[in-house]
Amino acid sequence: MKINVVKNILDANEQIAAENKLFFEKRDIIAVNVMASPGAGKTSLILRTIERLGEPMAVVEGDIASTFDAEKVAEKQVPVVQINTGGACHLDASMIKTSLERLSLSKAKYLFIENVGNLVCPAEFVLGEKARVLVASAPEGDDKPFKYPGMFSTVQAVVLNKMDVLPYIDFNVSRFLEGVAAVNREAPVFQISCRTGEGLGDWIDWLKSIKS
Amino acid sequence: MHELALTQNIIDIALREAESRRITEINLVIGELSSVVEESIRFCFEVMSKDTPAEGARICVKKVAAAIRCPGCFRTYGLEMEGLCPACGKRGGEVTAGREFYLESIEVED
Repeated sequence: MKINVVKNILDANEQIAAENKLFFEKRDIIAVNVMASPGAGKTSLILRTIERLGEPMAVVEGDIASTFDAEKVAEKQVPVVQINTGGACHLDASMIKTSLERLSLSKAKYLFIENVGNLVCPAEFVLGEKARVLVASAPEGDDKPFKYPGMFSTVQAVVLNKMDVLPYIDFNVSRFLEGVAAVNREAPVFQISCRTGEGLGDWIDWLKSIKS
Repeated sequence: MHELALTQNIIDIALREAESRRITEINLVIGELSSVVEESIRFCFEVMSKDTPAEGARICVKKVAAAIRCPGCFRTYGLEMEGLCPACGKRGGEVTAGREFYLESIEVED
């Protein structure tokens, strides 16, 4: 006998994500899910954003192991909680839900969630965020949007980091932009360097334009 | 990489729907953009369904190709075009298919 089910396999995660979303909305917190491959500059972008945004923030750091990233954020006097996934390749909504209990959010207007470095799995797991941001970096190559269309198609903004090394590498900016536009027409691409600070102004303006 | 967790969800949903009847077939729909690896689902399923009413069930997968709708001529085209509409040459578009990942139906013994 056939039973029609038609059920989203990620439903369990999406239900908890919906609870997180409600939690953020009630407190007027703008949650931003920051995704990238390892080493693209997620933590650097968060640190530069803390310096320039001028709004109270909190941070959730997701890593397979270690607390290096959380320590760097804590040095900036920003509430931070580290999630160690112990091998899991992405953060899921229930990890975020649990971590919120350990985070002081009373003042926060923005919550940055730094996902595990990976361009595949985090695309599938919504966390309850308002905005999804992908950090790519020039040394990774201009073909990344073509190679990871799933990830590039789900974000509201792309940050292209390490633009200061462009003179030393073969990176075709227009090919990268074409790749993003192929699967995502709406997402703006911010060309920045966390090291020199170039281009960060537009990124900050974009963050400020998000309505909670 | 996360197929273990996904397979557990698949089994959970199927067992709930089957209400302890033996499951003989599970029909999944997987979109090209969903980054779910069919082979690892099959592998995980074999291990994880042991000693449950889903053990030995056939996993059938319907694949859905990604489709991008051209903003100029509204024709849809696939990922292999790298975002360039084959009809009018305009770039980019809206993703209209390919993100699917759901359990469509199951077959159970009467």
